Amino acid sequence: MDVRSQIAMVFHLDKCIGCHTCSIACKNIWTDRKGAEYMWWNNVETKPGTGYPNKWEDQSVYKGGWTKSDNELRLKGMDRKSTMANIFHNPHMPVMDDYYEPWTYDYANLFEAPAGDDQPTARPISLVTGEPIDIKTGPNWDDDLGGSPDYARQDVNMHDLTPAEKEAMFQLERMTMFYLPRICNHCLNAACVAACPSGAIYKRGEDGIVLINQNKCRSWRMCVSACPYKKSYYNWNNGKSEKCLLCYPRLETGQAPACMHTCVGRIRYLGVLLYDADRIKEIASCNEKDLVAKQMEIYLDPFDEQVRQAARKNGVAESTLESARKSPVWKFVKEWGIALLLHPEYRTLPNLFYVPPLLPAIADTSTGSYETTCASLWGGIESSRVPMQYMANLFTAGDTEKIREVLKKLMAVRIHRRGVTVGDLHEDECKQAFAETGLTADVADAIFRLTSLPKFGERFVIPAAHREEATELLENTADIKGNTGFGTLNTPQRI
Amino acid sequence: MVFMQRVSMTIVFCLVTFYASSQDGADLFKRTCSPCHSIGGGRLVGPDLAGVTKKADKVWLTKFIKNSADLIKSGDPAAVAIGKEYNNLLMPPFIGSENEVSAIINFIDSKGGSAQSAAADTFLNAASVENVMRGKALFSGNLPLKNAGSSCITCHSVHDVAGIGGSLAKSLNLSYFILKGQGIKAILQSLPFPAMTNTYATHPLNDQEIYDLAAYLKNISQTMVKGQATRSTFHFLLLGIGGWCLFMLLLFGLWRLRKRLSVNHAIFARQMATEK
Repeated sequence: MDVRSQIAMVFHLDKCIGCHTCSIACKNIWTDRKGAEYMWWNNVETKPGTGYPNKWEDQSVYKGGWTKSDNELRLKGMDRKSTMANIFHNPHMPVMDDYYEPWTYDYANLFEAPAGDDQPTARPISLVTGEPIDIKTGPNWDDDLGGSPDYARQDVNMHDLTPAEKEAMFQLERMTMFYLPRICNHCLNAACVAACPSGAIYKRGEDGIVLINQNKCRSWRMCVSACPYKKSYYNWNNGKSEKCLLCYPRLETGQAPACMHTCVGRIRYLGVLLYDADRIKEIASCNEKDLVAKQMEIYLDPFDEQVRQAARKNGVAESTLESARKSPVWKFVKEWGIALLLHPEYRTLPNLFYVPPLLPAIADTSTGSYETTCASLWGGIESSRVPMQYMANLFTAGDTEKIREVLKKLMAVRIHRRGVTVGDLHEDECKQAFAETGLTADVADAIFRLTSLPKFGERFVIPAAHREEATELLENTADIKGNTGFGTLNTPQRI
Repeated sequence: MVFMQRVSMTIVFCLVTFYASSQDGADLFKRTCSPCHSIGGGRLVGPDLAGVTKKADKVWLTKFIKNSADLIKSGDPAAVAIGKEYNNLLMPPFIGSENEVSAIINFIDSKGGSAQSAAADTFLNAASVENVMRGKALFSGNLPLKNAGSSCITCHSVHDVAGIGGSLAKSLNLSYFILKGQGIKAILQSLPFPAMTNTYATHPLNDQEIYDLAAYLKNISQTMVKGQATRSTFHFLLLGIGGWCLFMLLLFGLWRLRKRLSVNHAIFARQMATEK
């Protein structure tokens, strides 16, 4: 057992209102630079939709992530031989139009245009070429189902849906949507790390954050094509790849990452999970139908003394073990089992979990009025406007049973709370909900509390970073003590 | 004081011996001239020098010995004629004092006699294929020289290892025809060229090696003249051009598989079409 600590996240999709505050917070801090204008380390997509970069989930085009062939785990887009053969052109890389050409507007023209018959306009100017452009697409071009015939209908997750189900998703008064915020998953079996020919990408030992060493990056861009979530970006200005760094400078000072701190819907949770690094290969290469269940096994119980001992032996700080016990992620993922992973079939073992949304049921208009009520609240899950298969394709590698189980748990919490706050439901209905999902009233209340009324310190349980210990690994601090100050380390020179 | 005296005496002694030895024309001739010239022994690489002091005056001889290249360049008819006669193979300039040159001239003068025609070159008569093969191995460095000298390929090239041979010194393709066996032997023994002198000063070639190398160079020169020589330099160029073409073809072949268009290309195309 090789116990390590990982900063993991839960995004509660029922609470996301799609305001993009997270994206803006991230952009303001990290990517508001030349060469990084087009990057959105954090972005919010509308589902159904093609996302950013467009159709990123279509691995038949982008060839990201891992695949299992001959019982061996291999990168889908490259092996040693094909990397050598394609090292100068990286065939599966997204082109600029797959993201979008970043632009600004010629605002000065509004003030400086000579007097004329027409109102002056501010033409869009490309931030790449500096020339005026016609905008073709942007980072949220299909936001809120905009341009559905062109975009949402091409959603990659609609395979295995019946034509009727597919059609229903786009009918007036029947369609629905939800938001999917995405950041780097800081995977346990990161494809970007495996693909980098320079060895510039690494997973930090103390908290599992995946980072690109900007000194070692040699702009091969293999990470860009290898990451199935397309969360590694190439900065065309300085020739280095960049990605979400989970605001580690903020984490090290006890602050939540900017996207999480600013989240208006308070959908984001962050905390420590302990995992068994010895099992990564075994779990990443298991059968596809077992992937979801198996990955849950890799996370170890922080309350288990044996696990704690092994963790201590591995150098995991006591403060980290303590925050692992308080971790909201542990509760959502393991205790309650209501958080799932986005596309586990990519086999990267991501660490960003999603609580799937409970979407409205299909309305019945046969009576002439718009009727969404069902015989029971359970009915709402089965007749959800988004087909179960679609949700399963997103979160459980196509396993509808697994997603139904989670949605039922979420619904059981709602039934229970309606019983508590409104009291109009028959007691039996609540009992049946608990019996079917294995929840109890206490657990349902705890889920409700952490979902609806969490305090800041409950959403983000950030372990102490212990940078002082890391520093001591690199240099002898006693050598420097008493030697700092003006002109001590660098004595003035007489010429 | 005593120490200083001893030092100065040693210096004086050294200078005297050096002067005396440099005045010794016979010794000088043996060291610097004999590899290519004989006195009354027939033509080697250069002319037999017996009686040369009678044919030419001392001033001209001194000029020629000190730097024959300059003299030929200046258009001196006698010098140009000699240069032509010996395939423009230039005599290395003499590095030494005026006294030394006159010592050599005096020595030649004292020997008297008259020039003989070229003696039969019997040096390589007994050379076998084995000698040639060993010579090739020595030349290319596959077989190290006994005294750890650098192999010839470091600076010289020959046609059958062209392309990888050195270009610091002359190509030895025709060396046998210019120098003959005796000449090659003489040069390899006495190493009169400055670069070779320095290179092999502490790593001299042994007789067997000299023989093998001479045999190899003879073989090289013969194949060159018979037209059996492969024009490897040209082949090398062709190989380069061909390889480059193949490489580009391969690259373009591979690049064809590259994702060039946006996944939304069809959408953009349709939208642009509607706009018109």
